[in-house]
Amino acid sequence: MKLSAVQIKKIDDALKNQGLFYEDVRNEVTDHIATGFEERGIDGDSFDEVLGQYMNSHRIVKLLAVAKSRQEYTDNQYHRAFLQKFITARGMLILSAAFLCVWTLGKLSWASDLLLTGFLFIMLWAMFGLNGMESARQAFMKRLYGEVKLYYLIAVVLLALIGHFYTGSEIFSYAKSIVMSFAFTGYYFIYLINLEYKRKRCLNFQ
Amino acid sequence: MKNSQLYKGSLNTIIMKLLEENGRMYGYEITQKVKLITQGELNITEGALYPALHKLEADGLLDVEVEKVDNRMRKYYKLTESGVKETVNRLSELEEFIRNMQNLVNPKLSPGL
Repeated sequence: MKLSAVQIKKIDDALKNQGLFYEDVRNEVTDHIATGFEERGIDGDSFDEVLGQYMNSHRIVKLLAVAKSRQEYTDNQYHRAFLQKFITARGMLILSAAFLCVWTLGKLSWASDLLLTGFLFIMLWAMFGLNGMESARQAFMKRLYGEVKLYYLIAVVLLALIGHFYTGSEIFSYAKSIVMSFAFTGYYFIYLINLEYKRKRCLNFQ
Repeated sequence: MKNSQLYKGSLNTIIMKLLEENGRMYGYEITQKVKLITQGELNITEGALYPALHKLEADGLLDVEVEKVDNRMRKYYKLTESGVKETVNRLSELEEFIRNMQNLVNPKLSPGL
């Protein structure tokens, strides 16, 4: 007896609750469990009970361990793709352009304040605003942001901001511009990889 | 997997041989096919099968096709061109291994000895 769409979704939800994020990883595990249930002839009445028992069995532990290591591999792939974007000709061009903009505008006090406000806004949005996003649509962006650990730059930026109190210090000024250009470029790359992820996911579901 | 130490080294070859014969297969199907062929003697666990499939895929020996089947997405594995060539090599290696083991374990049955 074939499982219904509702029953498949229950398996998928149970796997989501176990921390399986990527749909392609989850799909393979869902299919494995569902095929096993169908072969055993699980009917509609006993489905919930059987699923509950399965999710607490040693078999799911093994399956989840495999799926999570696959998930880690996928995370690493996106992490690498993010870092690699910085060392491409296009990436370096964007980074240089961002640095030039930040450095030049930093010379004007009003523009410098505007940039800092913009930067802090993006930082705060990334830290807190992402949590308010519609998770189904932007979940990967949140995950990638956590994965690339761009928030480490906050500490460096705070240090660079101290430069505000030492207006004559060129080092602080340089440090601030470099960090801000890296951060702006990084956010742009997160956005690009998010687009690539969505496109790839759509292709998988055609 | 039964007698895991003996079978472990041959798991990839077993998977590739099955895919060579059947064209494309999904994970659960592979476990059941092996169980059927070996009359239940060899049981490939999920913990062994999927890492092997993913490794073969990462090595470029397998390709995947995703299809919607019975309300869910199913991932089929099939051999790539290099996978087909590699299967031939691995099978001849395995045959040679079996021949050598046969000679060592039961020399009386081995021809020419």
